[in-house]
Amino acid sequence: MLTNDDLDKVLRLAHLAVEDSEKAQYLAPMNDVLKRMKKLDDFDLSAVEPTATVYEGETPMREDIVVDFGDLTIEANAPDIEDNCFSVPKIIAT
Amino acid sequence: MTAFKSALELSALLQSGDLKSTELVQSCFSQIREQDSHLKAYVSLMEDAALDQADEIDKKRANGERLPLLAGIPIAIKDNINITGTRTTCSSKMLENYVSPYNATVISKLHSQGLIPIGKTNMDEFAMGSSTENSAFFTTLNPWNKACIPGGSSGGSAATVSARQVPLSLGSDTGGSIRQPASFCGIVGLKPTYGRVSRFGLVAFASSLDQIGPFATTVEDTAALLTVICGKDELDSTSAPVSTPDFLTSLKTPSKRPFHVGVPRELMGKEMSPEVVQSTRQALNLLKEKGIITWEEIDLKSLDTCVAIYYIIAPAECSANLSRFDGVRYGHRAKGTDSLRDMYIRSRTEGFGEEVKRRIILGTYALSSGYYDAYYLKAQKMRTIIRQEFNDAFKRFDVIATPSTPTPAFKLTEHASNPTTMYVSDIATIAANMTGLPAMSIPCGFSESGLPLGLQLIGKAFDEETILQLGYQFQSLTDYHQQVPKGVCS
Repeated sequence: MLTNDDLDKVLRLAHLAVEDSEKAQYLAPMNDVLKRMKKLDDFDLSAVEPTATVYEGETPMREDIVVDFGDLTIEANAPDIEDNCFSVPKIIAT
Repeated sequence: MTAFKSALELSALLQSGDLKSTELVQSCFSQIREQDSHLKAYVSLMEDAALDQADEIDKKRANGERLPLLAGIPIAIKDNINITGTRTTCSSKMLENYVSPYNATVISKLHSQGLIPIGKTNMDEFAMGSSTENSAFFTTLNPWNKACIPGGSSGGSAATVSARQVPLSLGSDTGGSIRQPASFCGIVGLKPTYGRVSRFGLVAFASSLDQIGPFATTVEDTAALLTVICGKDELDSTSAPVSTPDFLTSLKTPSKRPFHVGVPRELMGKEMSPEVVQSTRQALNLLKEKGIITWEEIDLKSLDTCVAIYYIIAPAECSANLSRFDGVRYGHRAKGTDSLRDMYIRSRTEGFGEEVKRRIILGTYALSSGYYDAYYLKAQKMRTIIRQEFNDAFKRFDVIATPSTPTPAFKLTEHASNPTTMYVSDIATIAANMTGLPAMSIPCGFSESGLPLGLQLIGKAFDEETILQLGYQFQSLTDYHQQVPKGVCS
């Protein structure tokens, strides 16, 4: 079952934050979901191959040629753009 | 009196010259203005663009041009499908101001056939939910009873067709998000076979499960719209290289009679409300009496595990898909952050709502080192068993039939205190996503309190024709689909 420590670890991986006062409301439903997985104990899955997708075709290939998608209005949707680059907070301390 | 007509009836009026597309589009906006302040089906409207397109179609028709069957018919679009130059918000603060730079393939297909998008419909944030209550903006109400939710996640698309604001709409279905709201709103909703309809331009939730599909009031309209949106697309690597039948033409020429229908006991028992089970039995018995089907109950034991594995697999895929929302290239960015990591965390924490965060957290956990085998891999193995059971069942049966939902539409906030109780409302619909099979909900009765109930028909892969044929025959014998919520004006 998920604990507060597990939640903190996953929050770091997922780049999210949850207030301490809200943690219980996140944990309870998630533990309900994990509990439901016990239903799978009725099935012998040891020799079963996993299904990641039901698509049965091969990955389609094409020539490596640039396709012009027209104006993708990147600037209009960017939160902060400078000199044709996305601008973000400093990564390296000065 | 355009509001009570089907898309095909309206198409006939347009072709005969008795109706202009501009008049039809104006009447849709008039209905929306009258009702939508309380129904709240739409996140945004496209009135100017829609009227321009309608005018263009009217001119072509006046010049004697031969136009496609659905040319000039208005359609509503779920707000996770991109239309160039319009906002695609996914009902999330994360994308509140995002303007689509390109058309989804389904939108290009609608345009090529002259269908007219009139607005973007409300949904659960990023399609995660079963009621539209997870929309960051507002909750859509059920036209049949405004104390109830319309279902979700495509609740806006279902409610607007149910309220006869527009004859057609598109939604997306990852675990039942077309069929469950179609059932709750008393209309037809179809999830095509995985790969039948391109996902290019659909904002991804769980990529191995998502499919775009149609809503309509009749099976005929559903068939006509499905024919428009299907087809192989080079822009979607999972788009299947299969030909698209003319679903409308094949409706009236059933491939066999009677169809053999299997009905899983697991979805006719204690998890379902008695009135839901009763209406499904009545529908099946009516079809049997008329010699259209034979039916028998069958065991599909793996169905009991569907909800459990869905809430592992879908969150796992969503945690990967939604990692793109980092505040760098588009979407919400938190103000006043002092490092890149701080910006990622605060942008995502501010931009996503509680249910989306919950699913990202759950999916990240299920994929994390030490838990992958116990949860994600195990769920994927169970998915194989579910597929095998359905494959075996389809050796004997043409169609699997179930109630679409375990209950009629529930009340607003009924599941607010414990979201997992709402997860169970997908119990009948998830299997079709896990297996990729086509499935459709059609109206099959009403609850004691006057709420619509739905019958789900699941077909073999790429055999939408059979479930449409069966649905069409049911609608030829019944008038549930012609019932209109009280208060809907003409």
